[in-house]
Amino acid sequence: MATRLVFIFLSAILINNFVLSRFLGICPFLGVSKKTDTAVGMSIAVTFVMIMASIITWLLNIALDALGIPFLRTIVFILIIATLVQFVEIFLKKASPSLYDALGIFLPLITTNCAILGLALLNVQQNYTLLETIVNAAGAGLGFALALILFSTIRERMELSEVPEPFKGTAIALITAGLLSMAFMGFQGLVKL
Amino acid sequence: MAESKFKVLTNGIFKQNPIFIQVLGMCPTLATTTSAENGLGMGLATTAVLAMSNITISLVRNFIPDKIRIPSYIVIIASFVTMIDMLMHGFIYDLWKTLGLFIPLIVVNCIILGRAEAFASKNGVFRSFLDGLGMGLGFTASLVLLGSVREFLGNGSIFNYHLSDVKMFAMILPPGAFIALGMLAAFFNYLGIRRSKPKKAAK
Amino acid sequence: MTVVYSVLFMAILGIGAGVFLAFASAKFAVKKDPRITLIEASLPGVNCGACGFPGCSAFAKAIAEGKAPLDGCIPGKRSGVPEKLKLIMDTDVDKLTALFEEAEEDAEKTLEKLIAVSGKEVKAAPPKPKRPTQEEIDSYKGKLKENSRAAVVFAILPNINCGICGSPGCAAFAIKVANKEENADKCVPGKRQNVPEKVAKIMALSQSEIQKIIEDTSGEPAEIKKKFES
Repeated sequence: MATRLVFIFLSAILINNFVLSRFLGICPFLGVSKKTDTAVGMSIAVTFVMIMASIITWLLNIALDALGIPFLRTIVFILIIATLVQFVEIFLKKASPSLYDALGIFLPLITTNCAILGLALLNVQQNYTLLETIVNAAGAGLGFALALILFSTIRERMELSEVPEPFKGTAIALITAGLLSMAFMGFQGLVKL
Repeated sequence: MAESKFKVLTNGIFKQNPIFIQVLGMCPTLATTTSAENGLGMGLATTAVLAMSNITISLVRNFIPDKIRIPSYIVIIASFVTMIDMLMHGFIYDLWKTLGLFIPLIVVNCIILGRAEAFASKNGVFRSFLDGLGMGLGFTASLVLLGSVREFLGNGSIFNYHLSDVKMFAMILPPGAFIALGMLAAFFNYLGIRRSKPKKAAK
Repeated sequence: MTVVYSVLFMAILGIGAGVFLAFASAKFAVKKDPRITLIEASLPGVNCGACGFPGCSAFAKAIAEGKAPLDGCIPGKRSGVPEKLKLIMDTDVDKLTALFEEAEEDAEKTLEKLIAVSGKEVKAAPPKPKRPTQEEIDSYKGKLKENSRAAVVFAILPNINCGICGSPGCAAFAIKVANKEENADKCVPGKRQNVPEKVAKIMALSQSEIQKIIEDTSGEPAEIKKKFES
């Protein structure tokens, strides 16, 4: 039991990193990673929403299956995520106005972060138990944080290098992400179940 | 208001291409372009949702209170995505299986919510339809381009039509996606820079 | 039955989410400094940028933080705005909050109460300058093609379409200036950018010199503007 949880956890962070292997959460990955402090703030917000959303959607999924209306899954899940993000926005505005200002437009954009909806749907698809879901969500959040923070530190360094004109901006960011993804591929086969 | 209907349509293909100019909708772009066919399938599914949701949102735009407009748009878009998901599951099972998780993820494709917010909520039904169609076609074209590049380099074929024996498997894997898209983006940037250079040289 | 379940489920979920958010927004409400709201209400509200800040809200915030001079609002300078701002800043914050809540968070009413309470004579609120509509802006921009001198004048204007000059947009103002029907001084945001001096230079040029400028720059406003930057 414990080994399975460890596998799920490590898989989400390293082996099947949500950003670099599964391609979930690319928009904030490219958009928020210019400065390390915004990257950290964003990661914390996303991890929190991931864990809360996973738990609530997992519970609601049982109700959906029981009532025989599984086709409502996408709509229900995205509504829960939107509500949670709205709540986080309200809470942050009061609790930490500086972080709220720093995140700016990216906070409501967590709703359209494919990583959160993707995570919720994956949990259900792979028939995880509640505990496995929570572990997966924590791992996904940490994996996202790892990728985002690593990438932001590299990008901060790149600001000071001489990038050829056509590559400036998104192009060089994508190529760098590709190299990072290649590095993470080295984790394949790390844990054997 | 001053734009002709034709311009509304082509806007999404060239001037405001969702992937290369607006840098939106990256997740499905990288994930579903393992082959040209997959890219085409994903692009067309997204175009369908875009067009239908733009029409619907344009129709009800005067009836939705301002404070709940974003959640309302999301529900409308999610409904269409669920429809497309079920249709694909029934009629094109193989493609449905390949695209997998990314079909329901069309809901959170920033392009759709972005166009709903920026265009459909402020324009008439037919124009919104054209805008959705244009953006969708631009998205599809870019996906097919990226998919073709990756398929050609990674498998030596385009649309399963065998062309060469060069097989760089890495192109079909995640790193290949990032790098291929990065190179294409750089190429289009280069074209854009060259276009504005002759004007400067003439001065 | 499926339909009934679907409808019921979505209804309950929707209402539940709505109630939850309403509760949260009430519980975690952030009290905005009433001074900023009051200051914003005293300003003309055209976001012309003449004060040097990105918009009236930013200027209001700066005043409240003491980072901007009270007479920084140039359109408001002659309509009693600095006096109003001084009154707001001099009054005790708690008193302002109390007045604000009394007036049910209506900024205009609070200001009236404040002026009445202080017994000071303050001029009436400046009539808010009319911002031109997008159609007006576009139609006058189209007319610039017929008047090359106006096109050159347009290039050196701030192009914010604030409406303070009384014309419907910068293009309309440029045409009037080129036809000597309007004085360039009327462009308030332009004063910081030396618009009156640049206009004087343009009016002194001959028609053929104007044509040459248009040819050299292919009519690009940014390029024309560079020619007048000393």
